[in-house]
Amino acid sequence: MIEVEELCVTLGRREILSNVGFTASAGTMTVIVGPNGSGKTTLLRAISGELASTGTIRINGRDSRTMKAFELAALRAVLPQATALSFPFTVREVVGLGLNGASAKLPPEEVERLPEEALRRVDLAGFAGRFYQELSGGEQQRVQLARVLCQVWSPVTQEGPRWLFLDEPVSSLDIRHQLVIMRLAARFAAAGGGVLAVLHDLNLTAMFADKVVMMHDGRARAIGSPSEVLTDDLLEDVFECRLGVGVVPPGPFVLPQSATR
Amino acid sequence: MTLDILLPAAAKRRSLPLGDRSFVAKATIVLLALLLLATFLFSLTAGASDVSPLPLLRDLVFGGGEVSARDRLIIGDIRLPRAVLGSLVGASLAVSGAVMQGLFRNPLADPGLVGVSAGAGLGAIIIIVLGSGVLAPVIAPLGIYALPFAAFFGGLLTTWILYQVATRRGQTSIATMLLAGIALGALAGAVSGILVFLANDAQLRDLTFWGLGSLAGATWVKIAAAGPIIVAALLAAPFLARSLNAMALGEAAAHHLGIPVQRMKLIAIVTVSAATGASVAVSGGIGFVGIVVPHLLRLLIGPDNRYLLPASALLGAVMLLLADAISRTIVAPAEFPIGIVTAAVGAPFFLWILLRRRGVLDL
Ligand SMILES: Nc1ncnc2c1ncn2[C@@H]1O[C@H](COP(=O)(O)OP(=O)(O)OP(=O)(O)O)[C@@H](O)[C@H]1O
Ligand SMILES: [Mg+2]
Repeated sequence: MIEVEELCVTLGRREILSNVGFTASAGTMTVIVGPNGSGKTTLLRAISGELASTGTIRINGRDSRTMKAFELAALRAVLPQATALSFPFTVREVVGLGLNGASAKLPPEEVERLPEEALRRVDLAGFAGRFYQELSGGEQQRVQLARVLCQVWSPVTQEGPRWLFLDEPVSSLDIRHQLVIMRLAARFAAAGGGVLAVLHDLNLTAMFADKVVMMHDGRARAIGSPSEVLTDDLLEDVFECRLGVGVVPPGPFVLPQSATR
Repeated sequence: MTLDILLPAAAKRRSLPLGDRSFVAKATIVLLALLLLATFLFSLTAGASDVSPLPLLRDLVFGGGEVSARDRLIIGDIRLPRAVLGSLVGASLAVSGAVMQGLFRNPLADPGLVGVSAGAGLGAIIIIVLGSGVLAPVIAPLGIYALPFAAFFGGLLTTWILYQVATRRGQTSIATMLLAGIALGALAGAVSGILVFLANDAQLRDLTFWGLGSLAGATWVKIAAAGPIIVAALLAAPFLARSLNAMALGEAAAHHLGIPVQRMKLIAIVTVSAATGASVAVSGGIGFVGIVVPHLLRLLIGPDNRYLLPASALLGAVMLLLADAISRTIVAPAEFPIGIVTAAVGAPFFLWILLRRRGVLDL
């Protein structure tokens, strides 16, 4: 369980988040939506302990601010919105970085197997020997996801459920891989872990989210199930754009829900 | 049997996992260690007085009188301390470079670049120029330790100022630090210039030779003064390896991976300034080892610091011993400052890295 209460973040002189509060349960996927600049990334960064903030943040009942970096790392993995990598690491080496803290405790066979298994799950089997910098944007994004998966490989441990924080995990993926990754996250949640994801795609949100937090101007404007939050009026209010929820627009379109495979 | 120890499990199964360069890296480290041994022995034999390696080796191992008393004196009092100091300084320069590059996420970062060497140099110059005058009462009790200590504190002070300038609310900005380092280096250079202007002829000759970098003055006393600091820094470096690997993804991602980023940066900075300060004190400005060695190794074994740091230490020592051998033999019986040798090789190499950086892979 992640509990956030009265969370405020100030960057520079601006208050970016004001009094944000919500809870996210293990075993479910909580999706944060909202327009550009509404504070989604800031919210995720504050919860992951990267930004100074005021208010309460509890992960599995513990005050996250009293936890050390390695304790947090054992509990949650974070996929940032963008990752730069210096130095020419191979894909395998990048994914292996996810095992950084844990590899001392894992048997050597696992250290060897997990990166390959993680790459297979993000549909990058056989990419281990390639150089990261030589991959396409979408492939790089999936490599980073594989790294993050390695860090919290088993969704539940003795210390309780573990968490995936994903900031726009499918932003540069094609439609098939969007589904691959979203299903991967859903499976992580189904196995008892918790997923907290920022998404721009409202269709995927409606399809996969158990709970939606809609951000607007640094506040949580609405919290609830997809059907409660994704309404015509709220969307118009927040995105300043009249959208008909559930109304088929004219012209050709492809619905991700239509996939049968 | 020995091979069993050397070969990791993965290699015995004969199928190395795709993209895993750890086996190549370990093999490289073993080879470099052997190479260092050979180079070390070679550097004991090379120079104005010829001593062939085999009799020397037999003499060292079994005793006996194959090597003349005069040669033994040359080796024991001149070449051995020189080779030991050369190995220490070479390892220290290369590891400092590798750590700093990991910290700054930039293959061109080097203690020379962020002003640490310049600060250490200023400390040394102060002692050389003012040591016999204004500062005489202060440094007299320190004796010959004055120079190494002054350089060490100069390096540490520079790094400390650098850290204060670049750190806000516990966050160190790498970009600010690089720029501040350039400014501090220039400032230290300017003050050094004023001191050089004030120096008399004898001091000037000292300064020039020292500034070009040289191992010529190697003595056991110098090793006793600088060696422990260098060895401590070299031993500390491997503990930074995992953190530096994570830093390749950026500070935020390193934090997510469980690295105590601020503390690790502080340790890295102190390690680098200690190693650099001690090296500069005993050998002057020997440039480019810290850039060339890690870069070559990254091409060979990849950027994983768990292997890069020990390999850099070994190859740095090898390179400096070879450069020193060149500097001693090229105009024998006179000597050529080693700093000129490393710069003549290193500077073009540096430019080559800059040119190649336009590609994707050559970071
Ligand atoms: N380091 C910073 N200093 C000052 N303001 C910042 C900083 N980072 C972000 N902001 C501001 O905070 C607000 C929220 O940014 P945030 O990155 O959280 O938005 P977001 O909801 O993730 O947007 P996007 O959909 O574009 O990713 C923006 O107005 C942004 O300009
Ligand atoms: Mg964002």
